[in-house]
Amino acid sequence: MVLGTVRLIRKSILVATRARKRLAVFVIVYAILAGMVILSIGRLAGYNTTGLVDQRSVVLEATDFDTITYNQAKNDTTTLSHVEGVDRVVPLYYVNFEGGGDIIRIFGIEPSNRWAFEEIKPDVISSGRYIERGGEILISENANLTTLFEESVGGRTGTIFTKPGLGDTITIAGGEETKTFKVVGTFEEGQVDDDPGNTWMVVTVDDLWLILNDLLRVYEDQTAVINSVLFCYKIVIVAEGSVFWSAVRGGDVWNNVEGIVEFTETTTLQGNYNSPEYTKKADNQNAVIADMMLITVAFLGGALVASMYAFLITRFRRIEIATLKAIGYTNRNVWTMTLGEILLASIAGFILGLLGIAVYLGVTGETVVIFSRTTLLTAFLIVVLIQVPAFILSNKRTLRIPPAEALRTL
Amino acid sequence: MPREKRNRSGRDLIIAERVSKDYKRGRAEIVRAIKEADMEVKDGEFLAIIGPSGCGKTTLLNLLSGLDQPTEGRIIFDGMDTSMIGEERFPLIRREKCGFVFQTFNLIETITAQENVESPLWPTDLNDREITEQAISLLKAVDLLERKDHKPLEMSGGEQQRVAIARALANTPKILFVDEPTGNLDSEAGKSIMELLKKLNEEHEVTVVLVTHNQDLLKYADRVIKLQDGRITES
Ligand SMILES: Nc1ncnc2c1ncn2[C@@H]1O[C@H](COP(=O)(O)OP(=O)(O)OP(=O)(O)O)[C@@H](O)[C@H]1O
Ligand SMILES: [Mg+2]
Repeated sequence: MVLGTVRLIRKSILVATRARKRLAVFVIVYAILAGMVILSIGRLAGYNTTGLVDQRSVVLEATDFDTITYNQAKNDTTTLSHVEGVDRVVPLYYVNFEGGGDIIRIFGIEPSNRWAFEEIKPDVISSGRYIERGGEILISENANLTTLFEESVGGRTGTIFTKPGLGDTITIAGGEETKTFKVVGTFEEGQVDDDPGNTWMVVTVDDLWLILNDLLRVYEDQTAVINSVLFCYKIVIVAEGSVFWSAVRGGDVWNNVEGIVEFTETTTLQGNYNSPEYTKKADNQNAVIADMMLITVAFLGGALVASMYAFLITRFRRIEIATLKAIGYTNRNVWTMTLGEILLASIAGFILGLLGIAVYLGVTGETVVIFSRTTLLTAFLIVVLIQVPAFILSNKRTLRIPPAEALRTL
Repeated sequence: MPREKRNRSGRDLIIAERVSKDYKRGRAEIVRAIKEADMEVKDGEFLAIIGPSGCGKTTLLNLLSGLDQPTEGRIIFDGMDTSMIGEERFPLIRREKCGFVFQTFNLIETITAQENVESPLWPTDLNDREITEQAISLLKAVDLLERKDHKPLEMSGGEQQRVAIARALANTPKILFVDEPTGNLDSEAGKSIMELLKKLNEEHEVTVVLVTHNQDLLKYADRVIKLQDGRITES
């Protein structure tokens, strides 16, 4: 019966596409719902991704470049990680390379902490992708790298400018050895607040240390050197707790945020930081409550509309269903026929909803991570899941339509 | 009036034994639509059941075809007691042996004539090509091949009913149940439908059970059963 079942699904889609008005109405309704589900899943995902800094972190930024040494920041990181309500502390270090009057700053980040680096988080990647492992590097879109060279033969000195792009390799010579990186992504330059001409690059923390160790090998007093080339840009302190459940439970994650802020204001740290940046509890709470309402409406509404659709299909097509049963369709056959229509409408609606969201985000400029595979997959699963009551309902209803009704249509 | 068919044993295809059917109307009232009916349908015959509106013709047809179960008595369909056949198996038996033609045609309005004719075969394990061939040959038989891509509402009532007959024949049934097939047609279109049914009965040995209130159709039948107020009064 496999052949027959597959054909029934195919044919039910055919039948559905012919009932154009009904299909159009439901595709649009589904699109709105799917849009809401996608957006709310995106927002939920945002609690741990793009919104990580905004929603549950305290940021201590250095008052100026090259002021906080590695040692100071390392001690501050240790101090901060013992504060109550801290989930993790992410210090952002960089190494300076100077050449031609401009500075190249190479930052190190654990790819798993990428959302803590607000300036160069994955959603400001303008081409390519974020670094995932060693040997990969991100550079700013219009980076002009200046390399000084001295040609011993002839004794001339000069400058080489290069403009590396996606896929190029960059070789960094620290001390004796060279390390080669592949440019896997570029980021929007506007995100970075530094002197024009200065270039930022991002590698993994391990790679940063490889570069550094190579630099250091030629020196006797390594600690001194570290403190003269490795600096801390900022420390991001992520508060403990779930943003989503906090809205329900009285805001524990934001209480943690405030506790951390209070700690930084009353404790003397070794580095010189600006006053802590964070979002006020009330603002965050309101935003999350709005999100939760969106999510609830999307889920309940989705289940409701899907059920309504199933109800209406079996109602509009009552005689059709009775007729199909009379001419030899089993209940399962009939159900398969309605399934195709619901499936078609919901998948088409999902795609339309996705497009709608893309347009909406384009217009509002809101940054929600929706085009990640996980978000889309989750959203699609949920759209499918909220159909379950609809499928059960349509199954129940088709079961109940007696085939004898086909003969009583007047 | 019964006329012997070629090579027919005249064995009973369907037997109704003291069959009654009750309907609930409203909360308490029970209507007995069929009262202790005893009858049989013989293999290969063209049987007409006639009676005024509301006398229980459709109800009887539903019982004979197994679309509905009797309240009392039993129906033996091709040797099987219909009350013994499970609800999931009955559609398969219908698919194998029965065809239905309805007063209001009951075609699926959103699909073409050809697709309507194909539709009974969709759940089967025939491949697409076989199904299409069958539909085309049936549309040819009802003389509607050139209308195969039209949707029901683009066709006349007579044409729609011919499509419905072609659909009823898609599974090459042994028996055709026909409920007031000309009720929505003018006499000319009605005549062509009846002639088509007659031809199927005579040339393709399809048993036909026709219910109607129209005396004019009786001339096509081999045998007539009269139904009056739920009771068989003459056969
Ligand atoms: N589902 C039902 N529920 C309640 N009563 C019903 C039902 N179906 C039929 N009846 C009643 O049973 C009786 C017989 O109905 P049936 O439809 O079999 O008559 P009919 O001879 O086919 O009429 P017509 O020629 O108008 O089609 C009628 O009184 C009708 O009201
Ligand atoms: Mg009737």
